Amino acid sequence: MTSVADLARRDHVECGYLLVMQGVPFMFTDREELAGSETGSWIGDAYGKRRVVMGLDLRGATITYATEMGDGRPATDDSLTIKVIDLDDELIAFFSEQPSRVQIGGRLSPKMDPAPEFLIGTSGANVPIWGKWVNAESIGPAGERNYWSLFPGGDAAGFDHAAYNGDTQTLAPSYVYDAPTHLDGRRCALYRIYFDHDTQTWPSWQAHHDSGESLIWVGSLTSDAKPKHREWTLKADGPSSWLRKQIGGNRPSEWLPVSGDLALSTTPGAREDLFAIRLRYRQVNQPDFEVGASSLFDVVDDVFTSNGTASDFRTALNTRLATLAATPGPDIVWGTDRNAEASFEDGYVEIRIDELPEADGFVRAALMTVAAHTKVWRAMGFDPIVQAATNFESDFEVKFTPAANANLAAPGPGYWAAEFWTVPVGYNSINNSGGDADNSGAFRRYRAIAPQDIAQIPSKAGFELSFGIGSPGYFEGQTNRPVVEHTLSNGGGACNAQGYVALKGSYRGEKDEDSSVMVTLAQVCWRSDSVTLGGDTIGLDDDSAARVFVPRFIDARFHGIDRKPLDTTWAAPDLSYCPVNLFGHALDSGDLAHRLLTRLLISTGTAEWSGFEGGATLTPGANHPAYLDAVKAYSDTEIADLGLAVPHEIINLPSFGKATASLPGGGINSPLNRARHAWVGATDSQELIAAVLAPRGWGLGFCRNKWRLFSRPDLLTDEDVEAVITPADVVGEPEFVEAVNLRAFTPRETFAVDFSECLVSEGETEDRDLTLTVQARDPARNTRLDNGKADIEAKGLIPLPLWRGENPPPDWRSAFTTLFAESMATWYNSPQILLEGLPILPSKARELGPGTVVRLTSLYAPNREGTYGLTNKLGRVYKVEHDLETRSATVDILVQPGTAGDTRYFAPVAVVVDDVSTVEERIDMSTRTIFVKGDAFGHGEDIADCRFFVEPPWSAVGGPALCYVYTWNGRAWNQSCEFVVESVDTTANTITWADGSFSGTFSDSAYHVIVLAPWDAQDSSSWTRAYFSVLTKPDFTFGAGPTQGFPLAP
Amino acid sequence: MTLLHRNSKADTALLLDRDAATITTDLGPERTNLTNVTTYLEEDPSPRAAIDAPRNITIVATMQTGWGGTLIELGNNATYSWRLSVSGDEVFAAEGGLLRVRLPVPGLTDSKVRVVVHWSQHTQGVIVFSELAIYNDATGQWAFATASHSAATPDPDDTLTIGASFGGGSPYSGEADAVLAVHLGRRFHSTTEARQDWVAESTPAAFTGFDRSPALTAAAADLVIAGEGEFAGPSFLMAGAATRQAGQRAVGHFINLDIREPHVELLAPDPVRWYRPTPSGADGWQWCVRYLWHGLLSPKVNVAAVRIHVRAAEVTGGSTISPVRFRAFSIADLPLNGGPDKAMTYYRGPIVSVTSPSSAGVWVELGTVRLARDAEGLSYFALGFLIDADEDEGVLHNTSWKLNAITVTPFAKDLSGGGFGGDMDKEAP
Repeated sequence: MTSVADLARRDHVECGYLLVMQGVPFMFTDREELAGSETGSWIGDAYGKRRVVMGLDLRGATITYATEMGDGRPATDDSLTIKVIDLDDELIAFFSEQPSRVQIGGRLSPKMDPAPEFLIGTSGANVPIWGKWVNAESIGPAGERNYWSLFPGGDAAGFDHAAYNGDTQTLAPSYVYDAPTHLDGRRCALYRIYFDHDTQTWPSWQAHHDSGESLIWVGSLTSDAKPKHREWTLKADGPSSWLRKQIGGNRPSEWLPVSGDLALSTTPGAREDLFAIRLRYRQVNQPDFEVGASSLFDVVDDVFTSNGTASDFRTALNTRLATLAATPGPDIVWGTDRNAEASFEDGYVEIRIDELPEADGFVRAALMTVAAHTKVWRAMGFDPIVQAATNFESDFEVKFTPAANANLAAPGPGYWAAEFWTVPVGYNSINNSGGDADNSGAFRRYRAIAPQDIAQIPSKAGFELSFGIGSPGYFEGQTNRPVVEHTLSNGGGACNAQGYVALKGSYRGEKDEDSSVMVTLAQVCWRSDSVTLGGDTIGLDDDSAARVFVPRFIDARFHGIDRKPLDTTWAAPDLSYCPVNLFGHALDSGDLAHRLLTRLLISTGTAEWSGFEGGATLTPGANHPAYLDAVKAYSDTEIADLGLAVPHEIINLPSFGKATASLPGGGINSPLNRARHAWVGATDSQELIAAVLAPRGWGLGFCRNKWRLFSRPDLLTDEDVEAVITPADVVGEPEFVEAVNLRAFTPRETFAVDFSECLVSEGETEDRDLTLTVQARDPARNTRLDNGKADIEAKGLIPLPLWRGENPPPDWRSAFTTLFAESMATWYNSPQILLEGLPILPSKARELGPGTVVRLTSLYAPNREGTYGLTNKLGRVYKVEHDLETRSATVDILVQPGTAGDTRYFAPVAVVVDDVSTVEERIDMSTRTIFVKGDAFGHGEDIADCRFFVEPPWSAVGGPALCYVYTWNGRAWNQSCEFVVESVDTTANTITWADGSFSGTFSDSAYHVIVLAPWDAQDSSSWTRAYFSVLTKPDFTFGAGPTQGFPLAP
Repeated sequence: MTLLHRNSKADTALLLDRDAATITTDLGPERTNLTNVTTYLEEDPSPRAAIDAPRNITIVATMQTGWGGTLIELGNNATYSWRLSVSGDEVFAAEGGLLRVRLPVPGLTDSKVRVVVHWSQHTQGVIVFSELAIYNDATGQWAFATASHSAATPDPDDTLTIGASFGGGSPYSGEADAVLAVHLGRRFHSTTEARQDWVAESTPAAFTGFDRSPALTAAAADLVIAGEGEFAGPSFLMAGAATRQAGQRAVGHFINLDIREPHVELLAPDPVRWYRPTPSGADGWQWCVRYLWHGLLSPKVNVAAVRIHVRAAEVTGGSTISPVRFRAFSIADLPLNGGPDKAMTYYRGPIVSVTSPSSAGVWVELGTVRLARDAEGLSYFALGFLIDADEDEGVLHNTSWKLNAITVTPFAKDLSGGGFGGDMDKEAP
């Protein structure tokens, strides 16, 4: 039986089309043989009770796939205009309004598979959904998700139907329908179905899908429908529409207040819950104190309640103070000898001592020194920085000093000691106050400067915050990272969700500094509640407050906010928060951009983490391909709101890694490949994709029904060739003569990149330039008279100037400069040839799409070597227009200047396998075979080590390839044997030598490395001499000749 | 098919093993068999045995008290290049007429036992070190001696004899039948390698770092593929791979303890002051000063593989215990004596549980933990543990456990999210 793939390769074949709409039980075709339903029909009952109905008319229809050469974006004019004759009244019913639809108040998440039988309605009643449609998604009779699937084997996951029945409504409504109905954006697919003349059958839908040749277009229906009685003209957007979504739109984008919620750390070494009190007198003009009782950071007596309020702190201090005042010290009993007294009150601290005349006739001042953590002072309304005394000119000034300066061994960082004297306002020392030191026996007050119990953010993460009373609306956790293990206090429960918020409020770092708006970013974890209000939100604690845990701060400068990380406790009366969509996994130096792109494309919202940060396991979602097993965090990992749910079957995943290889500064690990993306509210995924593509010179194309990423300025080599086009592949009129454009682009003189986007506008920089302009340095620049400028939007590039040189993340700017000043400028400005509108036969057309690298030979197009006709030129396809009626295509190819073969490559090396138990598994003399490792040195490329021991198929040089085997005998390397290659097997990883060519001794248990014999030792006719580069002396020559060395392919 | 012997290595000049083939059969890469002269084995001449230091000679033979004679020799009718012989239950290793090192065979009795005699040499400048190790297979005893001496030059025209000296002189009491295996090699073999090859092969620990030598490379003078006129590529790839692997090698243990008198831990801490709750605050998890270590770490490592040998048991020998859970903690800035000014940082490994008693104890892999260290490079390691008491604990059974051994092996690992992100494993303090 001929496979579908073989059928598709034929130029002359009988075929029809099948239009499938996701969630719809009927499909349209243009072939009678395919129409029907259930047993006996072509579709049969293997895919449920689907109906294939006649009426599709694709005569004259075309599909165009293109990648913009200038900026690498996929072109959006990939729509398909479909004609359908509605013979069976399917379409007219499909487009009918459904008044019986029911709005739901409960969420149907993609993880609910199978779907529950009922969802909660807005009125609280149960709404049955089995056998019905939730928005565009069909639910099966037993809760199957996406029951009427787009692919014959079923679709990976259902969609997210976010809903919420709380008071704060931020979501669009979701409805349950009794029948499929037209909704904008419903996904659809077009299959080409081939007839097998050998067996006189139409192979099944599944066989067609599995061939990779049948699915020729995917897209989504629009409301653009023009019926003319039963003849409908429907407009459907193409595959680019699947990349177009407002992502993150379900997350609230309002700024809401953060309630004060204090927790004092009890961690040894970082304790914040202890205090110290020292009570003393001092006579005027006497150097020594009269020392009363003191108590310093005693873990039993001098301790605050860790989650107390200002009132609790005052009570604890006053209680301890009363005890100490009555306790004899080394010299005095502070509260008895001169009747000193002090207390902490709401808004002030007061202290007094009896005035003269006294028993000994000397004037004394009373002094109380209290040390507590800055959080405690701030909670009581005192600010140790702002209120620190200079001249004691007002009762707001207090002598605050770091605890260490007051000779107090604090139990952790952040402690401040305050000295409260009876010396009245206006005197900056006891001696200056003279007889007034006792304040005439009256209370001396020190006033707090701020309201008490204001919200505080400590500088170190690991604290809880309250987002106010009641749930803050729909608030779904992200799955980019695992949850940090924590049990929330006050009955908040164990954290099981995590997300990100921006925090802002007024801030003053130093006493003399003006107040500014502080903005910072934090990861937050909470207990998710999806039951009470039907959709995910933050669970409430015992006081009905939405309580969250802050396990870490995120350096806000990564997201354009010109604020350094907090280095002291931040207390502000106007502190507020706003949820943020943080798209990424690594929270430090950024993620690799191409991985983010992958994750954006394939995330469906079905991933789960088990365990907690530090030991968590990620189970990626249903759309996870095995190819990404090693990088699961960049697979189907994010929630549906932050993913495009593009099936991984239509993504060429290896191309993503390959495209990064040519980035300057380390390829995949180049700093230019790092990105950080975050936003508030919704953002356009198409813009996000463009922001990833543009600053890296990448292009995204839909090629052979898969999205592929490629690097536009890459110098193409023979290795890259995927299709060969010769004059025999050109179809059309006999007199067809191809036309070319010798200026594919207008030259670019400068490239300006803007990375100034700021997540929170209040945090925008005022003095840093977040743009970079680079000048072209291509060879033609010296003579060109031009001012062409390319503006590059580059959200996500790390705004390095905000670090002001203090430990900035890796610098991408030199890589960018190299890429654009050299590679991109050369590419834009080189003598490329754009071959436009080349008509291609069906057998070849199916291989071509935007991004395909071709080797092209044509008869007429002018080349840049001074003759007509292109011979074995390399080029990349940028546009393909497929004619659905003839299956042929017209293509635009950007032909690279120069001739293939000008450059040379690295020679191969192979290592003989050694973890085997018999000699014949290493070398088999009877079959002349040596067994080598597939990837001995961990290069990681999908290229067998033995592959380049034979001549590439496109090379026509010929000749033998002589190999040397080097052997390690335990002490030294020696050349032990040699042979001439006959063939290699890149699957079995073997090299077979030519009969009679083997000489030397193969030690059966030693290490062996096989390389090509040196250039001089190769036969003068050997292809190896023409293909590989050679190590030279410093004068760039080698060997006996000496021979001039050869440049490498870049 | 021609079987490859596990002990046939790149340096092997001769390998005999009675368990695998006739004793005269060379199982090494040269595959040149010896001659059986009835009471002894011979190769005349034997240039391959004329190896100068570094060199390995291992002979496995049957012995008993009172036996003597030449085990193996490279010599002629007048002199010898090297010789291993037995006399008075003692093994003598000699070269060019000079005794290099001698050692009594441990635990020898008047019944026949299998004995491994391992004489290996390595060089340091012009000095040669001879290591002689002898293993008694019946008693499991090892004996070891070492000596330094000048180098010798073996004569390639000499004859190799096994079970006697040249021409059958000074025959070994057990004759050729007593010879069980022989290995001659061109490099030094450590006693550990001898144990792996001739006593028992151990099971390697589960370990994601490179714990062996990186890819073999050599100077351009030795390996001509890096020389001028060679094709470019292979030398770059080999050197690059070797460098990368070298960077990921283990650099030696941070902790490697075999605890002679392990303390029996029960549910109740004793004394209480030695225990602290783990900083994560998870219920019941504890640290104890018995299981707290510190030291300075190499700057090239960032994670450690942790392995403990634990004996968990019911105190009266019962068959049920509550699960005992373990977790590795790496800590920086551990507060001591009032504490430093900096807050503590720590990272944790996964939780691994022992759920059934074992009298012999079990090795428990605690996985990989990221290493925390302070600005000076000081790092603490603590074993977190929890007897996860079930409802029968203290009623029907009393769970105990003790730590017999622990290894914490630091190495370098790409922590950037599989090479694709930032600090994936980083945990908030």
